[in-house]
Amino acid sequence: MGRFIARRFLWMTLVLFLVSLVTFFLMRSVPGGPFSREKEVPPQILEALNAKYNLDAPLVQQYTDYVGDVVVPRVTDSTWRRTINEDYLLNIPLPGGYALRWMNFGPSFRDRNRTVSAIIAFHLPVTMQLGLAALMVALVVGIPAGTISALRRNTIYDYAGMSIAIVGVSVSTITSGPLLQYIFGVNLGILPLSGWGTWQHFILPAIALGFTESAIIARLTRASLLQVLHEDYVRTARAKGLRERHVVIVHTLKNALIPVITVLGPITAFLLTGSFVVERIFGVPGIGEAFVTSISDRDYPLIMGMTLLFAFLLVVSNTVVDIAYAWLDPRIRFD
Amino acid sequence: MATKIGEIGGVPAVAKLEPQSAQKGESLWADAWKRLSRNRAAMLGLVIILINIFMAIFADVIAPYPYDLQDRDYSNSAPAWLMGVFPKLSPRDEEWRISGGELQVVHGQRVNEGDLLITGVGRDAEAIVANVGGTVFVNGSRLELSPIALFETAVSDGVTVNVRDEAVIQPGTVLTTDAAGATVTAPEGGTVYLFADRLLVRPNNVGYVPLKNEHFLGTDNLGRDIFSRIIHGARVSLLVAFIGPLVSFFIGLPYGLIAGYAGGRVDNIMMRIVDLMYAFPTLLLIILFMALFRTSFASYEPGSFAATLGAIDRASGGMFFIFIGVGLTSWMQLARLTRGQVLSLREREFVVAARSLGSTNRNTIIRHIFPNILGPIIIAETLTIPTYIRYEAFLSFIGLGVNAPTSSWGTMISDGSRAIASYPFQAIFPALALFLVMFAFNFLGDGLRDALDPRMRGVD
Repeated sequence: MGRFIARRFLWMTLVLFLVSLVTFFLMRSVPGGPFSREKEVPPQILEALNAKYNLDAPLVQQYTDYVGDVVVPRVTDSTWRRTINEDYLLNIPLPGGYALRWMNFGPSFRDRNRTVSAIIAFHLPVTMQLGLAALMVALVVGIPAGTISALRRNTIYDYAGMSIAIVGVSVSTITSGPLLQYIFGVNLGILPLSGWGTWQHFILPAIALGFTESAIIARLTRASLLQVLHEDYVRTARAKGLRERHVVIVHTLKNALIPVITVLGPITAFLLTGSFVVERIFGVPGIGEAFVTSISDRDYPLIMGMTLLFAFLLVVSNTVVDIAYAWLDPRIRFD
Repeated sequence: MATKIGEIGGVPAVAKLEPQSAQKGESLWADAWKRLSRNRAAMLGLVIILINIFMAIFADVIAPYPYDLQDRDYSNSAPAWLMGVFPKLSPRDEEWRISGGELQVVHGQRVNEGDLLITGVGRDAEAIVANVGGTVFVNGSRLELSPIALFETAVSDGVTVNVRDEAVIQPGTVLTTDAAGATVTAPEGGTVYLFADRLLVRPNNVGYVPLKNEHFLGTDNLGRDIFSRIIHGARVSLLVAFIGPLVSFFIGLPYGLIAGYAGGRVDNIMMRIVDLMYAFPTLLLIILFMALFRTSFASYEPGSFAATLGAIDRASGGMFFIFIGVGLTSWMQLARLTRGQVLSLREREFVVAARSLGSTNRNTIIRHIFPNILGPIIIAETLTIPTYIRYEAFLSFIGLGVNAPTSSWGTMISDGSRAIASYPFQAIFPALALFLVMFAFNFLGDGLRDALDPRMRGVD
């Protein structure tokens, strides 16, 4: 198990390194610097700007400086103050006025008085809350629906459940967002159309985001449960005279849900990319909306910072899921 | 040696077998088709897909309007039937300019649907037929027809009217005091119209959607026909739906075949590369790639690689980068699947037999292994198509898809969702089109799996 985890971590580091490399050089290969915009900037000012944003250093050094700022944590004492060039996403207070600070993404080009870290720190919690709510929707709807379908196989419950599931798989957030908005926001007028702040604002985006995933989870739960229900140990449990509910919950569901864990990795990815759409439709001030805006603003450090952050979240969640799966199903470790 | 091998007691054994061999053997594919055609859901999916393909190919002929034709006078318009479907939509009063034609109606007159309002000179220099019943208002040089029920009160002789004609009033405003001394308060805010013997109040904010029946699904904010744009949008979606599998078949399939068949170190290296690409957040990089190369202000040097890419992209209406994005992500899954299938077949008897009979590697792969893994591959690709379609819609939605006048469902939904409260039809119909196509491919994929691999039936 230790070796397995070590391997996964090495793999994760390699992927993140490649992502940062590709992102950085893609960014720098775009003709015209970040300051060649509407107006011609006088050469002296351009020089000063390049010096300020560390754009006059050799490319390799720019990369190592940037990655160094992001990756290497720093311990600061109480005299440390935030500056436009030095602001960290993670700040863990230590005793004695010291603090462990990590992930400095540098200044934003567009917002001159905000740092990328500050922008991320503002938007990320919103997306996290929305993502968690959507995940709850997916699990709370998906697992019971799949279980009922499997236990009542080939009955009206099964057919109804699986028909809704195939609708769910075919509905993307792009479709369900406007539909939910129209039905509950415009036509019935019981939920707010867009915005953020109260619990009512949570409901529609979370359903839009979680519905597709709940369908996938329901289908997977059903398939996996049907397989497990035919295992010998389930027959043994029944033969021992255990109550059906006990058989299902203790002996069957526990094993049937293991494969469901494998989709949690892709689901995290989906919740992140799905948030781009949902946040735009429902006017949620999350990180997806900020990412799309940063692209149209051509705010390179912000784009870079967010790409790295997204990549980090995706790769880490995949690794965690891999490890969890290997822990639950020991056969995986030895492939 | 009168008796040949195979003959028993002079009776040819073949004769006995004949009734059996005359029975036509069914190929795997004919059998699968038979099962598929019995699956109603899959057939429905197939029909929807075929209709869409037809729409995409003949979009120019079928679509009643060009996808980029703007009718600024009728932006955000809806036909009468849509007003019934979306109860919150209410038609704006019909409005015509009066330019010297002979007016057949007078201010305040009630007209019925179908009545002739003006002859001679009108908006289109033709006779205008009222398409809703209502009250006529002659308003300066304009003629308005209000289809809504009006708050109305009779004005008797000798009363003081405390409002002017066309005054805007609030709810509760005292309107008239009649001869008996009673006051009438306005139940809602609106505009007052005075007539010879009566006073009308037309409520505020009731009609805002221009009525135009010529556009089946209404028009968007630039006055473009939504129905035509949905038909044209099928082009982008279906192209992506076919490019994805195409790239998979040309890159992913050979890649997986080689890795699986070669085995050993070659397989290991090839699959590690796939693993690496798989772990890569490709979508993010594609977004980045498109954002940087498209929206960059600076112009590229002509002849450079970036300039060529940009030119191809512009010529294809912005689809080129989408294809690259889909292509880059689509092949890996198929490569993995193919490799797994090849591994499971590689040591099977019929492959070993083929090899021992002197079949070359190439021949073994193409003639013996490939036909046997085709089923799972087709199933997997059909079930992945909705992902490609969603991918394109997603990119178009966040503004990185096709270029402006080209219509794409994702762009239409994105534009429409901004006005969902006022003009819900602008987002909902493209959303339904997108849903229908994804639904159809999912159904067909499920049906294909049941037909090609009966063991899987009912599972998942």
